[in-house]
Amino acid sequence: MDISSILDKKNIILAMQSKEKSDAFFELAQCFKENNIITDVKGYVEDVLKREAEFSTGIGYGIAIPHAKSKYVKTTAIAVGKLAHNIVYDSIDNEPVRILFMIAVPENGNDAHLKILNKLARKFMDENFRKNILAAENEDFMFEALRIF
Amino acid sequence: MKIVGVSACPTGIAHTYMAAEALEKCGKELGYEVKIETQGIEIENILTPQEIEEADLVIIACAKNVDLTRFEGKRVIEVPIDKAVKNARQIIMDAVEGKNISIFHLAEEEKEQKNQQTGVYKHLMTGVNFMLPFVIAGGILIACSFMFGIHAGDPNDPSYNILAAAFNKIGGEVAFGLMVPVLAAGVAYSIAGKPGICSGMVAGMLAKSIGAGFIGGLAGAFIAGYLTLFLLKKIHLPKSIQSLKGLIIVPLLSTCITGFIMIFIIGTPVKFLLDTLSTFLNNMGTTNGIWIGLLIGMMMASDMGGPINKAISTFSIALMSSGVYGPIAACMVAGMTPPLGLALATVLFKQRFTVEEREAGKSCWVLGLSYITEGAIPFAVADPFRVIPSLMAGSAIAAAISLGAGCTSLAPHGGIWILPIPNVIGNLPMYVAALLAGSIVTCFCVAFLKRKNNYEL
Repeated sequence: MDISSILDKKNIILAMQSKEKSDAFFELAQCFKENNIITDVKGYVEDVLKREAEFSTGIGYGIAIPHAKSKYVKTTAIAVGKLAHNIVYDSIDNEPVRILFMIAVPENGNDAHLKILNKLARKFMDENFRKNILAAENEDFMFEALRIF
Repeated sequence: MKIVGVSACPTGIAHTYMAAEALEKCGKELGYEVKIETQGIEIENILTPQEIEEADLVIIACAKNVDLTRFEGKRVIEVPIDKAVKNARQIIMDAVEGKNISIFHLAEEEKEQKNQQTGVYKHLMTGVNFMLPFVIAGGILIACSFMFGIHAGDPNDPSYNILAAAFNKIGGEVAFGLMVPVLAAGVAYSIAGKPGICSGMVAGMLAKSIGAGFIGGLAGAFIAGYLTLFLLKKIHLPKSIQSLKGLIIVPLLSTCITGFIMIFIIGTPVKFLLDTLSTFLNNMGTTNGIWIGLLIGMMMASDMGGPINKAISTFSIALMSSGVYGPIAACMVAGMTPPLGLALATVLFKQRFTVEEREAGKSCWVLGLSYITEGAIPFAVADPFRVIPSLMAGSAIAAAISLGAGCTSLAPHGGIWILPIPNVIGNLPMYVAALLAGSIVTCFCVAFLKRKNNYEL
């Protein structure tokens, strides 16, 4: 199984117009809804914000990975959103965020999908990987950049 | 250098793995072997006991509670998980340099929590539970020796019997002799774990030898226990010789310091108290029967084997040599009522005593009748503020009746077993009445003070 099992090109948005954190969450969640990943936008975003309240998912270098395990999620998936404008995110390095990887996991998450997520999470610690995803200018490049395993 | 660790975050989706990756990667760059167990939605990369054993450092990067029992005694550093994601390199360098590191001791953490809830009471109860078998076995063996005749254990007595002497040696000298040391060891063990046993037991033995009784033993036990605990926390050793800490260094230091405290600090006021009381008693004269009786009774039951008890019994024995036989009779009856009163209470008011106390109550019948006051000590240790006043009240009544009615005794010891011997006890009927009255007073006092207790039958 590879990244394509949890990432659909339809869930990659390259010019998000949101200027605030919660707007950006709604925009990506809306995308999930349209692609039949989640059942309820508001409920899912609330769960993401609840997780965000524990401590920020802004992992630095302009990247954030908002995520939640939620009863509104049907299948494990990620969505990628590149922002047209930097947003304030309360990241661990206090820098604004330029790219969001939103992760949806159902209450009873499937092991194989979680293994991919775990690998992806580890990949964020790799500088070259971060460079590639920040540089990706279209859906195909982004998909390829994420397809590292 | 080998480093192991655990990472865990609230959802177990992202940070758990990022922290693990960051720590493992930076560790590798710095030339260390790092393995991080990821406690995400499922636990992966599980640390084996051998890996934990071999690790020089443990890094815990968790944003939720994880079980740390596996890391008992390891050098542990705890960091917020987002710091591990961001600053893994710095965390590892700091850890290797020994910054922010503490030795993880589960037992102590748990104990500290319990201290807040039950503290001193729990330590006392542990001590009592250590001591009880010695009191019961010792007391019954002494009673066995008495069956051969009250002086059958004494080689200089015509009734000498070699079996009686053996019973007396086993029960009276050894088992009873170990009572206070074992009590102290139990209390110190409860406070500080195994490293506390040595200093606690030595403190109890010293309390005995300086005549400080069970109260002195308890004081020593608390000093020994808390000192051991303090040393365990404060002494940090290189890993290579760390096993020496609990085995040699801490027991050695705490035993030495506690011993010095017992001899030079506790011993001094005990001796002063004994001397002052002796002088006071010697100057008092023996005119005022009932009042002196009350005093004798209260002193006998106050510290059971401690300086106050010793002062009054020494004083009374000394008077025997000048032909005054009233005070020693009062001492004996006052020394018999504490175990008897408690034994009676455990029968009449079962629910106010624990199951162990009820068992101890059975042996208290034999101990009380044999004038072995120590049978009451486990009760007194477990609940001093209710039990000791009750014992003092009963003993005071018994001694006052005895002395007021002019009872006398020609024997300094022997309890009920000397009563049938003709002419040993003067005014026998009143002496028996004093014994009964004192026991009943103690029984009802202790039952009243413990009225809120309600244990299962």
